[in-house]
Amino acid sequence: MLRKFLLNALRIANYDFCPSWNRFLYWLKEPVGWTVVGVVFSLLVGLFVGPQGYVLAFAFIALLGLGLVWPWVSMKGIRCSLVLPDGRVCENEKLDVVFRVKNYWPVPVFGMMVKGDFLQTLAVDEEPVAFSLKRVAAWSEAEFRIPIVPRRRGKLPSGDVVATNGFPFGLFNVSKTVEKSAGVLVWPSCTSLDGFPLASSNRISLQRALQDRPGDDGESIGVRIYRNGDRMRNVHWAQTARSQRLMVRERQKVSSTEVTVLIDLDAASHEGHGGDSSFEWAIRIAASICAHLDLGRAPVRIACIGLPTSKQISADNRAGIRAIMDLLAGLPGLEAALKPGAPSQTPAQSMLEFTAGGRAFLVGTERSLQIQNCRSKNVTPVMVSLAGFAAEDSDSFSRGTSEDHPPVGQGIFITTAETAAAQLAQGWDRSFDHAY
Amino acid sequence: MPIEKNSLIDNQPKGSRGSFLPGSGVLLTAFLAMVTVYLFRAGHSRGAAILWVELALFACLPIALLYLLRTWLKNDSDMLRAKDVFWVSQCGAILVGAAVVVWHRAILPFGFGSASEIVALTVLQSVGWYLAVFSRVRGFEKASVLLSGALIFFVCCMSDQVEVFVVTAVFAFAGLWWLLAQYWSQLEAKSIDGESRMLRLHVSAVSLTAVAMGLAICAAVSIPFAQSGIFDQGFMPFSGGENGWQDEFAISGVGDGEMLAAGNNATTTGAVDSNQFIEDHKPSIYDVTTEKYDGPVGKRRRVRTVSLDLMAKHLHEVKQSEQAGRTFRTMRNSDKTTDIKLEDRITKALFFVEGSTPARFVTNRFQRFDGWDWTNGSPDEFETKFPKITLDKRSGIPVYRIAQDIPDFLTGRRSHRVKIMRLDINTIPAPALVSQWHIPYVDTIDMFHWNEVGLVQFDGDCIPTHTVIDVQSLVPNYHLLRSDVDFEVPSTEQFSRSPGLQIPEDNAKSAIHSLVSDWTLGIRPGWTQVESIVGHVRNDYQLDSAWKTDDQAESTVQCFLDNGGGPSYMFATTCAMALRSAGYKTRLASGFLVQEKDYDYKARQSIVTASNLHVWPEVCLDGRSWMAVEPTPGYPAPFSVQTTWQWATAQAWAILHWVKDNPIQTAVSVCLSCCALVFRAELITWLMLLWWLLVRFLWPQALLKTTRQLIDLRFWLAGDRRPASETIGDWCRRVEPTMPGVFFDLWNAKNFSGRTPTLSHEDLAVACQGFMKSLTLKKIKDFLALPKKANKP
Repeated sequence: MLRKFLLNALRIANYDFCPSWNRFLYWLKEPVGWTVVGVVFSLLVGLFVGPQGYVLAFAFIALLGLGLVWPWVSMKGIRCSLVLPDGRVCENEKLDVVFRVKNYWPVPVFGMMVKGDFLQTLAVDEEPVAFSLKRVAAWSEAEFRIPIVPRRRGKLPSGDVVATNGFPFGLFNVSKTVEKSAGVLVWPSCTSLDGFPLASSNRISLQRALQDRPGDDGESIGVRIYRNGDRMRNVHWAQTARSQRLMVRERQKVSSTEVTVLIDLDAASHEGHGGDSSFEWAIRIAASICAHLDLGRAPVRIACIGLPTSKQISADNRAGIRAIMDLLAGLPGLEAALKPGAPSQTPAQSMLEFTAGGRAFLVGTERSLQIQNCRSKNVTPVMVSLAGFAAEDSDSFSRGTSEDHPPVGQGIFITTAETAAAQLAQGWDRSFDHAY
Repeated sequence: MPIEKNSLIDNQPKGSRGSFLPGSGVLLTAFLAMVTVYLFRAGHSRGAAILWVELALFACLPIALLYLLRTWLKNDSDMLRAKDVFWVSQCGAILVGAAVVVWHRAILPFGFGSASEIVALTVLQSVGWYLAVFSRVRGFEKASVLLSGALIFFVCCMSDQVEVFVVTAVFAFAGLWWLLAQYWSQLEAKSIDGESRMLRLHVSAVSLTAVAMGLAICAAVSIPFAQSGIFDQGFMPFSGGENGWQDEFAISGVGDGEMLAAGNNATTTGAVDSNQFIEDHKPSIYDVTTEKYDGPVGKRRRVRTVSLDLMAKHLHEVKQSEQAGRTFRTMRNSDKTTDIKLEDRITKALFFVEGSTPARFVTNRFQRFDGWDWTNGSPDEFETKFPKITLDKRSGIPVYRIAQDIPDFLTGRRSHRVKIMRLDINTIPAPALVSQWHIPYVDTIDMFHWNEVGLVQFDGDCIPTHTVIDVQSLVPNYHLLRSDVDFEVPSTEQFSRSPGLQIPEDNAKSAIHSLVSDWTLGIRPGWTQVESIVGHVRNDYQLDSAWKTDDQAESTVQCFLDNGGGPSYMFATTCAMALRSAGYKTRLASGFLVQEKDYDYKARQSIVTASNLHVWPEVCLDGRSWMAVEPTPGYPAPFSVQTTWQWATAQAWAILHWVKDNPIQTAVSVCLSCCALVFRAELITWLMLLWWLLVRFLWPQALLKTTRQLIDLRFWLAGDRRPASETIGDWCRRVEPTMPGVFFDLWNAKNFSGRTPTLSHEDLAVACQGFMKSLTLKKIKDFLALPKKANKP
């Protein structure tokens, strides 16, 4: 009882009652704010109390001047550039970037920080400081080789990279944008899968699944009269001699299902934040399925549900898997999707549009209406259970603890971020590896 | 470099993880705050012992709480960041504050209580110390330092104890140290190492830097601020100089110290044994005039039948007048302008001056002119009644003041400090409109009086050498003079009676009158007419220092008019006659003109020698204030003041007049400006293209950079500025996706790989040219206009 009372009291004491005023007041939380307030009060003391106020005001102004002018002058003689390899990598793959800084001053520059989103996993209130340079020698060009492992998909670096300097006191940071040579696209990481779904479509592919319909590949399935255009190598000479008519073998046909992968990216359907949110894992799962099907030369189309119309929502692998992976890499994050601006695609329409024919995979959560209403045998739901992805302080976290075990039935179930890759591989095997 | 899973670089300093102990910086600042508060309280407390007990108790309490918490959490620092622990720590702060209040209530019955505000102060201090001990909790460290700083600030403002100030100073250093450590710890956590190499020194860069530095030094030496800025008066008490910085150990400037043995340096003298000036001859104004203008030509023109006695008497009077400086003859052989070295100038210095330039120090005035000679005239001819001289004391310093009503147009004031050196004079060398003066240790009212020509005269033979005089004078505002002062043309009777309007009856009178009629035609009487007359004399005649006079001429003014010019004193004389002819009371002033060129930067003062002697007219409009005018070309106009608004309106009127006088040029300028405004983008890119061509032939190695700048400029002018974070390739390919990548490859190779392209200059130029042609300004504008067109219904 007492604990609850205390916790409630402290919660109220720490509650932000007027967040809209923070931008006017938060500068007071920084040393520069203290110094400015110090100057004001010192002058007031000097005016109304005694001359020591002026001495203090002078000291504060000197501190302020030094803290502002030094970094400003330092950064005037600095030029920074970032060299990135032009290409694509997957999440958690290492790449080397080179940071070059030229100091045109005849004195060293101290205490420089480089800030930018290098697709790392950051806490909500963590500042994206990438690295720092303690000293850049006078009149020199310094080169820093930095191995980076991007932890999130997207364009690397995401947004501007700035070099800042607040030396010596950190009162005020002077920033300068870093020039960059190229951008690296970070694809979502893929889980390797085994097995392919059975062909059930009229689409003809160049490889993989053979079916007993007339074609030019595989085993013979019958003999028929020659028709113009048939290959001479298919002529069945024994039957031709026997029937005195040109007969040809009928062989099996390679067939592959056109697969549509649908992802429900409606922010309302997802939980968690950062790289381990259900949103990101849905994208990773979709990427894994697409990449695996592309290996089997299956025509794959991916479509995203629940995004604003301004975003590209579909891609296919006619020109290779790159288009699909680029689309997935460029999708906005959950935090961006949560921003005001309701998605204009209605899920029902999207569903009808994209699952009109062939096999489909539907990646979503238990909040996805498509999964709830999924009755077609051609649609395989991949359900990400929100309980294992919700943040600690969310309601889903406490409610979902009893749903850790996958429900029995059709589809693949992902319950936690830690086991998501293994559960996907296992579920896929169970569903499509015919030797399972 | 090892990569942690969840961060690019480990964000914790090595060795810091798992540590419960607070940072030393925050502990020190909080401790100093505690000491300060208890020092302050010690002066108001009844029992020192109970105070120290309290100090020990509340210093140890947070430490004990930390120990307990540490034991409870089994030294697991990660737990300390958990939300519950954060709240528990906050509770601890409240408890500590409450404990202080309880303690003070508890000792109250024993007679050891404190005032409420002291209790509040102690509560804040204890909470600050608690936060410092628990500084590992997020946000506590900053809060502790802030609280400590506020406490120190408060106590420092309230207290006058030396111990408190000493601790405050130590706190200031500790605070700076803490700030520095805070910033450095952020760097420490994510610091990386790299390789560096010296930048190559370009010859052009070195030469440009050298030229820029040279120019900067020249500018610093030549700019006039040195005469009115801190270098003029020095910024240390012992620098000497103006504005009260007069220390007895001062080493330079006019107000130099009396305690220094000067040796051979004439600018720094005190009560010394130097015999530098003992045997030196002190020139009088007559000597100085003779040195400057040569001696006067003998008077042979007036052959009249007069008795020998009268003739002898007249000649004697003239000679005496010349010797006494009461006459100035305009018939002289030459106007010498000699360049003398600084050392000679110092040796020959008549006096030193500190203060703004130009400044005219009057030493004599002449009222009557007979065609050849200017004479002082009798005292009763000076129509102005001299105001009374009073002696006031300001902050114990005696100041002589002229009791007079100040006209509205004399809006400015300026000060000079004069140090008499070799000049044999008994009038104070001061600007025309002197209002007050001060001489150290001189406080006798009878020491000064007016002489017959309206100058303040020292009651003695001459002003002693090394006397320092501070003078303040009034400065006219010509804008007010033009607009506010009404002038009435004097009557014929006034012309004949007033010595300020006297013109010799010779052949020059009619010529002057005719000229003045032309110069003042259509101009409103008043200061504008004065300016017009002065301007015409100044611009229509040539300065001729080596003019030869005809000693048979009746009037030197006529000679001046016939020759089309003459020496400086003839400009002054002719101008004075012209002004009198127009009805303005005018007199001739002689004295020393101190210009910017006379300023000696080393000694921070202007050196005045015989070469500074000058003659100029003074004109009076309101019957009281005589203002200097300068008709001699090449000499600076008298100092005046104006408001910013007056300056702006004057400039505007000047422009309007120029426009009115030059309609064709104005029309052409307006058209060109409009065209330039409309086609500014094309114009700028065209200019940049010219620069590109120049670079191509002169500095081909910079062609890549110039090309990139040109393309960036085109984007900027089209309203689509490339952000620095966007690569040039990405940005340009939006406009032209099929653009060849030769330029981008070259650019990336040079700027991001550290390699220099191996292309010949010609191939490089071709590649850059191709790139520029594929991204014209029009193409960029068309690309940007596409979405707008698409959006149109």
